[in-house]
Amino acid sequence: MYQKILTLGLIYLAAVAEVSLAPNLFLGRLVPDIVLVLVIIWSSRKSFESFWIWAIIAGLVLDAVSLERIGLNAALFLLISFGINFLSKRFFVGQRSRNFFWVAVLILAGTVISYTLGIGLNAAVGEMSLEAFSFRGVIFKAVNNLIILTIIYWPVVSSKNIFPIEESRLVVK
Amino acid sequence: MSQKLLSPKLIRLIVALAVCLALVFLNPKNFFDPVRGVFVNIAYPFQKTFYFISERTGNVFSLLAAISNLKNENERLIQENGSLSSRVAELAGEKKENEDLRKQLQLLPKKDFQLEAATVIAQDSEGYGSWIMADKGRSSGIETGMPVIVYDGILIGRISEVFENSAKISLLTDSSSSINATDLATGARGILTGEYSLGITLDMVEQTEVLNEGDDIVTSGLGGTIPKGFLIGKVAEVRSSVDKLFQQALVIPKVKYTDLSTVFVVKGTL
Repeated sequence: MYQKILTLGLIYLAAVAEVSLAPNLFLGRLVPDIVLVLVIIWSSRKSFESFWIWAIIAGLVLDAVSLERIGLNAALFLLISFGINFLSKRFFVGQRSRNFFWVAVLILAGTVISYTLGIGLNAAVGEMSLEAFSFRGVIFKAVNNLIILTIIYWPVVSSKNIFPIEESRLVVK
Repeated sequence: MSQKLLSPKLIRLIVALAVCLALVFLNPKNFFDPVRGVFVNIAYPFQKTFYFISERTGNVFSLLAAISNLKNENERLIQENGSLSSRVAELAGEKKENEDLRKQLQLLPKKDFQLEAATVIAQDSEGYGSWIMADKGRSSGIETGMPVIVYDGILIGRISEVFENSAKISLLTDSSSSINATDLATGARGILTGEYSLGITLDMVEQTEVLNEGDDIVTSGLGGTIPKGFLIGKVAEVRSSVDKLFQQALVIPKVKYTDLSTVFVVKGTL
């Protein structure tokens, strides 16, 4: 219970930092997706079955704090979390978890997916035009997300006793 | 095969995704306002602190970046100082002219409004620049629809959501923004709309009206929700609408919305 409250608190603070702290500090005013980076780190270290509910909660918290349509980020995080789990199991069994560079690759892919689908969903509900998509935007977002990853990766990974991110183990029967 | 395709994991994903997408597409934002209000109210002190810290830190970064350009900047400023001295003399005369014009055009100066100063504590994290959040809300008498200005009467948007201690300001660049505006020089009237956060367009201007690049665009006061005479921006480009029935103008805002730190909510006229 204590772990869950702490995790929720961390997600909440990350969401608030994303809308209030990051806009003044990052390149091109393209705010890094702090919550997305957290979700990707956790997804890379946990099985989808044990993390999917947290992906939805993280998305809903971000939707509420960032005044987005409720459900938008939840859907994106859920998809990204599933994708990471799918890729990890099939192609990167040997390197999964622990490897910063593997997570960095996931961050790049996650950023592109989140940015593109985010604009797509916003366009589908009439709140944005597909013209809002820009390659410069994706690149700035990806760079900023990598900076955030570098800052938070080791603290988050080393605090696995506090937050529920213990590594899922490969069981050979 | 079908068993393998529809594993419990995949079914869970599909169901959860369907619920999330149903929330996105079927539920209007207002349905979740009470829940959102709780989250935003709890976040208020953190947002204020975070934004204050990041603004100061951002200024330090800017200062460090500027130090390397100080020598060139200094030379440029010395030159500029000379030309500005002569410009001051010219402006003294123009000030009187400006006041006369303001009276003629019925532009309202900032002192004529009941204003509520507010600090920006958050902004659109997706980088589309469609909204900012102010640190004043229902408890300060802020209501949905109130116009928001900066400096001496430059309109930046309207209040779109109000919480207890904060309020969301939808900027003019937001797709939901629609305001009656007029060309200050020629009197051409149209509707100013946000271009999905890509810019602002003055639309529905009749072909018989005159629009010139560089003209100032101000609010026309039609509709009664926003007073007449708030400055919005300058015409950057004039073109015809797709159906050729109207003219359109791309308007460049007077201020950069992402750099704002203090705004004024117009609560009424004095």
